[in-house]
Amino acid sequence: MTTLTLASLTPLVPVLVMSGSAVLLMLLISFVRSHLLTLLLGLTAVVAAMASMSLVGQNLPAQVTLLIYVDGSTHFYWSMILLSTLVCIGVSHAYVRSAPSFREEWYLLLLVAACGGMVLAASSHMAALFIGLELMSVPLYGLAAFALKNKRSLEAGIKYLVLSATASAFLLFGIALIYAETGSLLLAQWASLPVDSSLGLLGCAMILIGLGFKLSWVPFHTWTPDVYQGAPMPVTAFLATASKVAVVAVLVRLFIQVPLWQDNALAMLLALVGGASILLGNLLAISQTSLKRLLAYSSIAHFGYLMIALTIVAQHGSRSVWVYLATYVIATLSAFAVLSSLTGIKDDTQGDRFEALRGLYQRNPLLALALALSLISMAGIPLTAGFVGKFALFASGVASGQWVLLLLVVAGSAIGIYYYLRVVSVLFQRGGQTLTAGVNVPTLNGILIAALSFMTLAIGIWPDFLI
Amino acid sequence: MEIAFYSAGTIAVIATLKMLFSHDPVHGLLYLVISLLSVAVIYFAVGAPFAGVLEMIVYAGAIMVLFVFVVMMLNLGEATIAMEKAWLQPRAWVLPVILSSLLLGLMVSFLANTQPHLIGTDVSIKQVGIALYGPYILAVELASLILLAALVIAFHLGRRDEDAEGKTQ
Repeated sequence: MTTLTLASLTPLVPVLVMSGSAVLLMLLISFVRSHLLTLLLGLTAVVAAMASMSLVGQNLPAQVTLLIYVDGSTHFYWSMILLSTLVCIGVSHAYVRSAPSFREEWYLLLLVAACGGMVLAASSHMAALFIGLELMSVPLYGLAAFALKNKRSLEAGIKYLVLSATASAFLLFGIALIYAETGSLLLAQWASLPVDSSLGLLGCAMILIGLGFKLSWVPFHTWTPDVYQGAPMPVTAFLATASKVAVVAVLVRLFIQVPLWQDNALAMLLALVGGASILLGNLLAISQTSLKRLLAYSSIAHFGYLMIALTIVAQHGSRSVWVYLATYVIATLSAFAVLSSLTGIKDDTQGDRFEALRGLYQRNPLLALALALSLISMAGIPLTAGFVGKFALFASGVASGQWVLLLLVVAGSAIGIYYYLRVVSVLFQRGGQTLTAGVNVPTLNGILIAALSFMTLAIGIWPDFLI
Repeated sequence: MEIAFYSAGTIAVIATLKMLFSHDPVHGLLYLVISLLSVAVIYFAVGAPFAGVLEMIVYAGAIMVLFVFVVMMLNLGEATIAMEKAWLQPRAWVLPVILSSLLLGLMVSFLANTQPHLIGTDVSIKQVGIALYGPYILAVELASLILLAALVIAFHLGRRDEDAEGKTQ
C-alpha cells in the first residue's frame, strides 16, 4: 500500500474535492473576480465533499499510502469540519461584502484550511500530521489578519502566527524524540514504545504542548482571547470549531494507538491541564464585557471538560468525545453565525460589546432567540444539545471514576450558567441602546441559523438520534 | 565522522546562543547563518548530503537575502555609513569568522576523504526523489497547497492600498 494508484485514492475523494476546488477557485479569481461566483463555488465544494463522503463510505477503513488512514471515525470528524466550513463560508458573504476589494481570496483560504483540517484528522504518519497542521494553520494566519485596516485584526494574525510557530517547534521536537526511540514516523509503529522510556514520555509531553496550543488548554491558552477578539467573526468561528475538531481527532488517534499515554505521569499531567482549563476558563469568563472574549474563555473551559472523555478513549471508546464535540460545534457555530449577521468586516464591535447587544430582542426577536438558544446550549441546560453533551461526558467520567475532574465540571458548569445567562439577559433588556433600528438578516445566514437552532433543539429533545 | 558531528553540533549551539543574545539584528543574522551552516554540516556528517545542500541554499541563502534587504533599507546617508562601520568592528566578526572557518575545515575534510558516514552510505538525490514521488507524493502535493495559501496571503498583506487598488479593478 505504499505506492499510489488511482483506485487507492477513492477514500480521499472528499479531500481531493476540497483541494481541487481551492485550485479551481484560484483560477477563477485570476480570470473573473466575482464575489457571488466564488461564494457559490465554495458552497458547492463543501456540499460536494459531504456528498462524496457518503459515496465512498462503504470500503472503509482504508489506508492511503503511508500517510493517510481513513475510517468511520475519520468520517465523523470530516463531517464536523465540513459542517463548520459550510457555515463559515455561508455567513461570510454578507460579512466580507463591505471589504473594499479582494474579497474572493477569503473563500480560497477557508477551503485550504478546511482541507488541512481533514488531512490532519486522517493522518497516520507524522509527516501527514505536521503538513496537515500547517496546511490548516497557514491560511488562518492570513484570515485572522484579513481586515488589514483594523489594528486588532493584524495583531490577532501576528499573535497566532508567532505562537503557532512556537507550538509547532514543540510538536516537531516531540516527534523527533519519539522517532529517536522507535525509529519510525508511522503512528502504528509508535505502539511499540516501551512503557518506561523517558525519551518517549518527554516526546509525548512535547506533542501534547504542540497540539494543546491549538485546543487552548490552560498553560497554552493566552493567545485565545486576543485572537478570538481580533480575528474577523467567521474566522473566529472556524478557529473555535473546525480547527479544534481536527486536533481532537488526531489526539484521539494518538491516545488510542500509543499505549504510553496511559502512563501515570502523563495521565496526571492531562488531568492537571484539564482541571486548570476548566477553572481558569470559567473564572476569567465571568468578568468579560466582550462576547468574543467570553466565548474564547468558555471554549477553554469546554476543552477542559472534554479532557474527561479524551483521557479514557483507549478503554471506553470515543463515543462520548463525539457527542460532546458535536454539541459544542453546533452551539458555537450557531452563536457565531448570529454574531456574523450583526457585523461586517470593517467593524466587529456591533456583535462583540455587550452594550451593542443590549435589547437585541426588540430589534430582531428571532436572532436574539437563536443566540440565546446557542448560549443556553453551551451552558448545558436540558432540552438543548449542550445538555446531551454534558450528560455523555458525565456518564464516561463516572464510568472511569474521575471524581476530581467531575467535581470541577460541576463547579465550572455552575459558573458557566451565571455568565451565559448574563448575556442572555442583556439580549432581552430594554433601553440603553443607541441603535433602535431593526436588523436585517441576509437570507443565507437566516437559513443556516435556523438549521443550527433546529439541530440544537432536535438533539436536546431526541438525544437517541445522536447517542 | 563522530568528531565532525559533535564539533558541528557544538558550533550550532554556540552560534544559536550568540544569535539569541546579540543586541544588534545584523550580528544576530550573522550568527544565524553560521548556525544553519553547521546544521548543514551535520547533515553531511550523518550521510544526507542532499538535505545539507538544501539547508545551505534555502535557509542560509534566504538569510543572505534578508541581509541585503536590511542594507538596502538602511543605506540612506552618512549616518547609516557610520552605523555600518560600527557593525564591522573586529569584536563583531572575529568569532563568526573562527566558527565558519572551522565549518569550512570540516567540509573540506569530508570532501577529501571518503570514510563511511554515521549511517553507512550516503542517501543519494535519486533515493530522495523516489521517496518523495513514491510513498510521500501526497505530502508533496499538500505542501504545494501550503505554498499556494502562503502566496495568496503574501499577496493580500503586501499590496499597497486596498481602496486605491479596488478602484482600478
